[in-house]
Order: sequence, then C-alpha cells, then structure tokens
Amino acid sequence: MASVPYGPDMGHFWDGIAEGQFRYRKCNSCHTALPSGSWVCPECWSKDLNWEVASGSGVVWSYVVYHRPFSPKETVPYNVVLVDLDEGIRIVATVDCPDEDLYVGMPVESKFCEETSGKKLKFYPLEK
Amino acid sequence: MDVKKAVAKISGVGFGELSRKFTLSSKELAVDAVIAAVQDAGLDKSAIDGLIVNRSSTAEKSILSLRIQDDLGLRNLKITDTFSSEGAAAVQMIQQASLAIHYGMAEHIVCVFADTPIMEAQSGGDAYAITMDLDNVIGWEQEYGLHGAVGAYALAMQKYMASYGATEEDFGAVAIANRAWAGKNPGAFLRKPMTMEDYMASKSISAPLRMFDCAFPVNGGCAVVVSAVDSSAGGDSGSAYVRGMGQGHGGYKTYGGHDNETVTAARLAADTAYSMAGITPADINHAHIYDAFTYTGIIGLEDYGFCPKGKGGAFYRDGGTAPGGKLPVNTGGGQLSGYYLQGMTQVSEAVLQATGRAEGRQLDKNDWILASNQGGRMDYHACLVLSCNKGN
Ligand SMILES: [Zn+2]
Repeated sequence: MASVPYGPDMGHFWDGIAEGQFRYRKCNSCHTALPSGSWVCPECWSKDLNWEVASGSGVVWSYVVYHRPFSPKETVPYNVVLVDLDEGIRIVATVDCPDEDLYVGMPVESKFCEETSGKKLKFYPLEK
Repeated sequence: MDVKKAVAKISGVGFGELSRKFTLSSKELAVDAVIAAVQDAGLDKSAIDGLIVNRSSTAEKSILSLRIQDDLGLRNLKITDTFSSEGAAAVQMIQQASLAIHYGMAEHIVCVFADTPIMEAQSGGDAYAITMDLDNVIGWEQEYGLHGAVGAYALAMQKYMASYGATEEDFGAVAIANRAWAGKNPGAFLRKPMTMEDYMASKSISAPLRMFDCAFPVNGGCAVVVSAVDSSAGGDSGSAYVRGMGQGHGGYKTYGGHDNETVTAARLAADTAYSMAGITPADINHAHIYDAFTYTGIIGLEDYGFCPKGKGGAFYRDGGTAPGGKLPVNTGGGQLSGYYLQGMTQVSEAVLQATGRAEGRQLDKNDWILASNQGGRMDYHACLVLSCNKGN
C-alpha cells in the first residue's frame, strides 16, 4: 500500500499492516473499542487512546459485488464487505471466496496477502 | 395537536434548462433558474433581498458561488449563504430562508441549486463515484475498490434485505411506481412504462444495486423564491406554504454493532416537522421522498412514518404510492425517472402540486405535502411540510 497517503498519526497503523497486524484504538478511559483512525473517543471525549491488535476474526455485516468497474485498478466482479470484528469495530475489506457464497452473518477470519503494493488484509470464510 | 400558521411561503419556482448534455455551465443554469423563479413569483428583481446558493458537494467551488449576485445585479441583499453539504442541502437552504423571513431579516429570498454532472469527459455515473468514507482511514476504501454512492447504498440494500427479508422485487416496485408517475409528467426524462422484467434485466452495477435503482442524472438548475406569508408574491401562480420543517443527523458509527443501514435519523426530521405543523403522518396527502436510489424510497417511507419498519417494499408492491394509490409518492417520477437535481427534485414537484400546476398528474388534495431530502451515507436528513393553505 505504498501509494496510500498517511493521515495524521496513522504511521503506526500502516506499519502494522506491513507487519501483518490490524491495529485499532481503544479508549483508556471508557474502554470502548474504536476505529483505527479515531483520535478522540466519541463516547467519553477522552483523547487517551491505546493501540490494540485485532484477533482477525469477525462476521460479515454486509457486502456488495461490483459488476461495473470504476477504476482501472479493479477487475470485475469483485466483492467489498463490511466486517464486524470480534473486538467491536467495523471495517471495509474483501472476502476471498466465490461471490455467491457470501452472506450477511458469515463468520470470517483475516489473512494478509502479499500484493505488488505490499501486504493487504483480506478475509476468508471460517470453517464451521 | 395544535395546527399552526405557516412560517413562510414558496412564492415562485423556476428552472435552468434540464438536459443530458453539457451546454450551459452551473452558473448559467443557476442564473436562468433565478430569473424564472423571480418572474414566477411576480416580483421585480429589486424586491429580492436574500440569496442562498446550493452547490453540489461533488462540484468545484468556483463553478457556482455567491458571485452570481453580481451577474444578477442584486444590490441590497440582507442575507446570503452557501450550502455545499450533501443531498439534504436544498431543503436546508429553504429552511434557512424561511427562518430568516419569519423573523423579519428579509422578505423575498431566492434559493438556487444547479449542477452539471454530465461533462464532456465524464458520464453522470462517474460524477458520483467519489469515496463515501465509510472507514476513517485515508486511502483504505480505495484499496478495496469501494467506489461511490453505488457501493455505500448497495451495502445498505443488502443489509436491509438480510434484516427484513426484502427482495429485489421490492426495489423493482419502487422503480416501476415512480416510472408510472413519470409517464404522466412531460418534463420527466424516462417515461416509457417499466415492467418487473425490465427492472430485473437492467444492468447490475454493484449487486444488489442495478442501473434502474439509480437516479437519472441531468444537467440543470432549479430556484425557488421564499417570501413572507402575507406578501403579495406568488399572487397569480399561487404559493406553497411552509408549515413544518425538520432535520435529523444521526452520524455514521463504525463500532459497537451500530446499524447505519436500516434505521435513519429521518425520524428526527419527521417528528420535528410534523410537530411544527401540528399533524401526524396520516394527515399527509402526498409525499415526495428522496429517491436517489430505490432503497431510499423504501426506507424514507418507513422512517417518515407511513408504514412500519420493513414494510416499505410491500407498500410499493401493493401500488400504495403509484397513481391511484393511498399515498401518492414522487408524482413527477422522482429522481429515478423524472430528473435528478438532488434535493430540488422533491421540492419542485411538491411546489407544482401545491400550486395546482402539475397538469396531467395534478392531485386534488394538497393540504399537507411532505418533501424529504437526504444526503451522505443516509446520515443527513431534512424535510418540509408544505400546504396550499397558510393556516390560521
Ligand atoms: Zn472513551
């Protein structure tokens, strides 16, 4: 993900991706798990946030399968999912499975794949 | 409940040419729309003492600004403002104008929107392919190819289907009902009757979202004049009285299992507006629900209180919103089949109905009309309750 611009204070997040870790924030004051880009706790307004590492397991909250390309980067069809991580935060990602196998509520587990641009977080269906 | 007097009135409405090709700039379209609206209100330009401009959130600032004041030669303005927030902005600027007029800051405020999503090197679909920021890490969404509103709204549709057992036919029913209304509107762009087979055959963009689930983008402008209730403006063509106004902004929360997809803050907007008007949803004669996507037509019907949660699709399938239905919705064809001028689509049609100028689709009862707007990822909502009566 070399071409991706770093946001403020996001270096630690992108370093985590390069190392195969998905890092998110947790409020030291009220202990709410927060999205990785958080800098103030929306629950209690504390700015004392910790970095934590997600276990990588979660459940598909919703998904979309693109059939029309919007950029030369993608080959259709491909899926984009919202995954609720067990830690309590929701992230955008993709599931490495046939699109027709996807369903809301599908248990998934993360993996890091090597791509030309660097490591990329993907999910795969968790064996039942 | 206590039915109250109007806050202000919409005394004129006018358009800058609606088309599917790039001929006029947003600025030219806005100026044309303002001139038409002021003429419709029966006013001289010297009477205009306020100007509010709504530029599309996808457009560059230089494309349309308050500088049209100078093009129009408006010299004694008592209020100006620019709204460049998302799809709720058209109603928001009319609310701002109504409040200013109600408190005597101005008497006749012109509110204008114009946009040209169709450019020489850009289709309408590409114009809205901007990132929706569902995540809060810069660059993350692009990495996964989550492009534009079609992605965000497809995710919402899919969640709604899973939560309430809604089907593709439910979304199809919205497209078909609005198309039926468009057939009665000479100003609508897509008028050929649509069947469920047509809907199912329409091209998949971001499944479950199809081409016929999307608004029909046009270049164009629309302006309204908001006037004091007791002014003589709108004398010949009639006025739509602003009886209720509300907004609701629930934010977008990506932790704690929050549901952003099937419940919206339109409920806040609805409660505030109905309470101001002193009515309930059952009093509404017809509604103009923001339908940039078929799904927003369904969830709007639910969150504005016309049917229980999860029953919006059935309401459309049963013909409830179509010509002859119990609650006519988007009588001009809406944004799906009429034309997409963001929030002005709903406002303009509501005003034409309230003033008895909806021609072959004119409805008899115009005591209570709802016009809703929404923007972003369904997190911004604003609505007006309009009436042909000014109240006591
Ligand atoms: Zn906190």
